[in-house]
Amino acid sequence: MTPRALPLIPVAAVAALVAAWAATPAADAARLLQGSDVVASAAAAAACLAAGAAFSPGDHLWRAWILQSLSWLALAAAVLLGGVAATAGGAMTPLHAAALVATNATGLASLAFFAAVLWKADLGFTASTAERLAVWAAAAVVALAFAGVVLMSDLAQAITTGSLRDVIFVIADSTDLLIFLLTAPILLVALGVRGGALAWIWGLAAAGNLGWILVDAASGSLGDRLDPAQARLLAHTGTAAAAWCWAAAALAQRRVARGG
Amino acid sequence: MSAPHPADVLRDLVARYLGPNTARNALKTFSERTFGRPAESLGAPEVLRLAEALRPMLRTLLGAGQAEVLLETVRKELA
Repeated sequence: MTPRALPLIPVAAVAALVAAWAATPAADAARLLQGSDVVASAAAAAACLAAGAAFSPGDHLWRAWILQSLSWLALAAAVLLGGVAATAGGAMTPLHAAALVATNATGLASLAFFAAVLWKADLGFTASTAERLAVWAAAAVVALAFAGVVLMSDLAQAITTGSLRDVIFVIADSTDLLIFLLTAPILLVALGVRGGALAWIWGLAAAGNLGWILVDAASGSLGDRLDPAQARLLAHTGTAAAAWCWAAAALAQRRVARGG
Repeated sequence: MSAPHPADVLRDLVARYLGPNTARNALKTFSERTFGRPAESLGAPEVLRLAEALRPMLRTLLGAGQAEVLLETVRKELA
């Protein structure tokens, strides 16, 4: 597969999910969305593991890819542990919660390693001050407008109920907020290496992070304007977009690491 | 047809991965830092030293293995 074809992977996967959802009876929709999450997360975990395996254990990006793989693996486990009930908004067991904490923690650690490449590789000169400010400002706006709004709402809910489910939501919202902020340095690397083989990796990784916008939008004001079934589809479409973008980024990384 | 300038050989090899803008800017920045003059004024032995100066950046972005493959290609091209 050529690098130019890689962005077609998330586009085709999301289109297939929406088409399958439209063709599925409402009673089976939760099972379809759960299956999509598991397949997409497992595919991303496998692809990120393959990308990491192309590096040596001492390499900076080895840690980033392995942690990213673990994050998707933990998410697949969390979806399976939560079952269809969780997809439809049901209760949360401690094991399910632990898997969700694990996916957030490893995902955030992975992105910190990816983001650190901007400084570690001394790529600061690749963007002007105006470009850097614009990218950081855009990341902050997205973080506050999507994750920040949902975080405030879920924080109030968690303080009121004190339930495990609501506390986990606060952790997930906080992670999303940091993911959007960490997308700024990843995007700056992508912009810096545009025209080179590495641009596909970093561009698709940044796009994968932005997939979580749909998940947060489904929990926020946009979700309120949709019927519950459509809001759930929007959230799971975001998960699929994020997972398949990261899978495509990992395939691009694997290709570069093998000298392709 | 004249042989390409050594700095252009290095720039083009790095550009395959990092893109033309970053490859050009990396050579400019690291040449000024290492030699205090532009890459275009460097001879082949100095361009090889310039490639060595790029090693930490290449190892971070490509991994140690692929960075060494690239540096070996530079050495062969400039030999």
